Amino acid sequence: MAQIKLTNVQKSYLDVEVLRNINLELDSGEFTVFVGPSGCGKSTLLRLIAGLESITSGTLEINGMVMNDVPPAQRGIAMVFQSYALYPHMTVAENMAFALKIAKKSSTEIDKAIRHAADILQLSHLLERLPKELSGGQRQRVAIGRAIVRNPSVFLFDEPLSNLDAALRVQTRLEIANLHDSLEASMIYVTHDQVEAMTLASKIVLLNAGEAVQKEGSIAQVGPPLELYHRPATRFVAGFIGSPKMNFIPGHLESASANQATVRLCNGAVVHAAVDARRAKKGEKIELGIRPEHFSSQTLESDALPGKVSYVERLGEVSYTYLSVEGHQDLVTVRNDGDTPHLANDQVNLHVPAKNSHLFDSEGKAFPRILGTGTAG
Amino acid sequence: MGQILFAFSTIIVGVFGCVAYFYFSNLLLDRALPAKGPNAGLNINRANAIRPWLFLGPAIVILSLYLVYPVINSIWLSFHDASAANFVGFDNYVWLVNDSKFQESMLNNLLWLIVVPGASTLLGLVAAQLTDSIRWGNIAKSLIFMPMAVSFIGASVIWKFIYDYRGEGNAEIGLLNSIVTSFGGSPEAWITLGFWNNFFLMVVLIWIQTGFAMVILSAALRGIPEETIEAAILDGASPLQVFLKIKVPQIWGTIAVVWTTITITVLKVFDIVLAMTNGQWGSQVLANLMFDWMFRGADSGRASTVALVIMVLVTPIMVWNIRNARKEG
Amino acid sequence: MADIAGQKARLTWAINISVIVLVLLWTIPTFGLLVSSFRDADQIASTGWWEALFPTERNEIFRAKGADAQNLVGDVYQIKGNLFEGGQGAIIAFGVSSLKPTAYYPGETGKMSRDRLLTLQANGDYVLASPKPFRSSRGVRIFATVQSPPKFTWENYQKVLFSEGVGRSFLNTFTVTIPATIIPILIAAFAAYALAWMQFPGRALLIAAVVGLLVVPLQMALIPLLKLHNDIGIGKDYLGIWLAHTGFGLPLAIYLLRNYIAGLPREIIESAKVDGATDFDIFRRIILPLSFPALASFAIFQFLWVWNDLLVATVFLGNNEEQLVMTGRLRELLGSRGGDWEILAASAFVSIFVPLIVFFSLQRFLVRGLLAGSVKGG
Repeated sequence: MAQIKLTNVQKSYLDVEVLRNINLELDSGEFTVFVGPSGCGKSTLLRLIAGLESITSGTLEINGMVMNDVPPAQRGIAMVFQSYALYPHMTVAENMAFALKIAKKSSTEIDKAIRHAADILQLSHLLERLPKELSGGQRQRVAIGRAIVRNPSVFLFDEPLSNLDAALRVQTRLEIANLHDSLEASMIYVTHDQVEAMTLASKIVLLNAGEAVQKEGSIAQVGPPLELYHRPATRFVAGFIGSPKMNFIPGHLESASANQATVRLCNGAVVHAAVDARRAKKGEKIELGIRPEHFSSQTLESDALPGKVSYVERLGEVSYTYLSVEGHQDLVTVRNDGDTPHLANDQVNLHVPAKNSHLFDSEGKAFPRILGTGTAG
Repeated sequence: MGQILFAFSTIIVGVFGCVAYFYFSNLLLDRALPAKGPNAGLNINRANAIRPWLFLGPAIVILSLYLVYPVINSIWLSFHDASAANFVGFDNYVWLVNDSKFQESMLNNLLWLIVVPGASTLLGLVAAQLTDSIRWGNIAKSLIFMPMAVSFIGASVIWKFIYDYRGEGNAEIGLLNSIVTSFGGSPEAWITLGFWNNFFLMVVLIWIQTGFAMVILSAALRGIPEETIEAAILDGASPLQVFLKIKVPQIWGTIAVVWTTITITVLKVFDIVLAMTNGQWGSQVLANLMFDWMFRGADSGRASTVALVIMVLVTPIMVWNIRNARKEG
Repeated sequence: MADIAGQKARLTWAINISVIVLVLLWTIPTFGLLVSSFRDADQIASTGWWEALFPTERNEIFRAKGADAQNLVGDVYQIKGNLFEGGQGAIIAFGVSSLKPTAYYPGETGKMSRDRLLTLQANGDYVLASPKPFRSSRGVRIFATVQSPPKFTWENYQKVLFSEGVGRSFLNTFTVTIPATIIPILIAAFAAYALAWMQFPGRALLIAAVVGLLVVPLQMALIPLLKLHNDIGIGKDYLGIWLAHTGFGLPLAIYLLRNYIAGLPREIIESAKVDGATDFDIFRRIILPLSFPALASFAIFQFLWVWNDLLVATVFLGNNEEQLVMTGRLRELLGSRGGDWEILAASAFVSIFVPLIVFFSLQRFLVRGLLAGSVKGG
């Protein structure tokens, strides 16, 4: 049974609709990540579940009970805020005890809960400190500890790593993953960082922003991380997941069969893609999508994309070659080995493997890919 | 001892009564609508709808009674006679416009408005810049700021002593007269000199307000991005040029807020005039005129009319000031 | 700026001197009154206070002891004594006739009529010698220029505190000030929280109303409120003045505190809500402790304002012994004892003593408060 269920949820501020047509089922024990560009309403969605914002229409159920009008404290959730929201005038122990004191728990019970949480998070030696005496990472752990002591059925995280530096972010990310395994609790996590989404999530909810919300509703795609990577439902999902982002090259459909489509690109090159594009008409405008890491290093005459090297970024372990392609404004990004021989102004002929290509119709919808075993998520 | 006990118990009753209201009203609400049981959700939502009014209740009652009602009542009174019994139409306004004391007060207030805010702000700005650039600046600041803590009436005593006049044949113990005589001048009873006495009264207010201006402007000066000053120095600006062309233009907003704030204080100035001259010798001002009509003249109609004039003068400045302060944020 | 290379030392000097001049200008008036409050009435009336700090020189006429005090030493009759008789002072010059009162320096011997000799030391010891016995029981006159050290006294303070009613007024002022400081803060803090963080219909309207009320000059409120107080039977009493000060202080208090409280991090308040706290819990346990700086700075303002207020006290409190506050007392003294500077000076200092302590010890908060809301109209 789904632990959290949203049905046709919609949220407006005055007459501005920020979330639309949200239908979502999250199972017990799952690690769900809400991800999307800024302004997509992912934090708002989390706050709707927390009860910090009211739902304009639709229903929210937690553990089978409708929660629309239940105040936050009664929903069995705990939340870790972006700024941690530690009470600055209380010690670490007092911060963790606050919710339990409000609930009028006995002092032995409170003590036990604090000790337990402090053990898990290695905070035992910091219990008497004030938040301002802690490092960023320690504050982060106190914020999580404050959630743990309440023993909630769902943990909510609102961009919890965005205030940490890069090294600490990686470390804390791993700790949160460990915590999820050991507590076996459900977690919902909001981030704008796709690396966090890919590494932590058992299920990603990718949200639309802008005009797409009106057309398709707020949810762009829901699924495990690798499914979003390999089978993006739309051009938007394909572009959002993966870094550097996927190249989109416009062209026309030449022909389509059950397992392959032939495409004439804007510069005249003809390539193939392993997709079922039969629902499109011949000659229809389409876009070919290919990730920078999926170009082949071989030089073949067929399925080749000619272009001129604009410049090369050498990062050591890899290098990125930016190609200008005739008839196409954007540069095409290609990932190569670190010691690629490409130089600026070189003419190159890149092989576009059919099995790695994506195809999108003029609406941005993806055609289903035909994937061999082992490549699908 | 009895007095101390009385004072102490009065204080306790006053303060405790207020605390008790908030504590028990909220306790009662939590009891009546407990956040437990089958209706927890409903109860909490209901309590949340009621609680703001518990929090706001006393403020709303007191504000309406002590500020809103008086404004309405004053307007009503201004159309009635001395005893507030008979409607007299615009008589009070007509009287006011033709009254020589009112004309004198308006002129004097105008004079105060021209001199005091400008002088205080300018002196405050200079003091802020000077004290910011020396090591013992903080001590100097708190000494210049100190008159802020002194009551207008206390300040009046302090300055009346400076202006003291003993008359021919006596040793002058007022500092001003003593300085005048040591330069060969003859002593004067300064605060009885028609027209000029206004300036001697203004000095008292300038003395008080300069510290205020200095503190605010000093903070504004320190808030100026260091880089703009360093850039100006690299461009070869002299310290005076840095001050006038780089710093001052960047704090115009704050200068305006200080200026207008002092302007409002000036419009309401009362204690100084009351204590120093009581409006004699051509030094009357609006606030004291109003006070005169209220207590010595016992004419609530005329007094209210003067009070309304003060409010009408203050309002646009205040509105502008709040807007400006918001923009400054 | 202080570290920039090549700054001119002359400029630094000029700045230092200017600041010294400014500081002197701003402190001398108060200092003068402070000094005067420790001088006795006669001295205040005869010399300027700035002379009190230095020894004063006066020409005085003393009288030596009479014939009873003479001794025969050898064949000379002597009278010994000290002009100051235990007091302090120093003789700078002396003389034996009113025509030449400064003819001799101390230690010298002056010739008097009838072959009498007078030797006077700087400390006032004199020896009067005569070949013939002294007859008159009245001693001879000695003219001397005396330098006396500065002399200060607590008498003025004793007098104003215990016989001029200033002590009583001091207590009355406390009785007015403390509740009139705490009550508006409490009421304003609750209202400010509600206006900042609670959801209810009409909130924006109420905020606008509070800002609007900032413009009402309190002069306007006096007549209607006095009538109101009389009608509802509060009359002229402490309750009335507390309420009046509360009413006049509230708009600014709510405005300042709301700005501060609204600036507290939203997430902290939401976190407390998720933790199950009601608004009253949040107010008590989170908002009050976190708003301490703002509360303190407003408290100082309101304290100074109420303590120093004359107008509201004059109108809403009686003019009698039980209710007259310091400012009212001072004004009364200015009227009745206008020339008695020793009384005025001491009273003024009793009245500004408390605000000055508050001012110097809590200046940090005061400045912060000023910066937060520089819109107070006084």
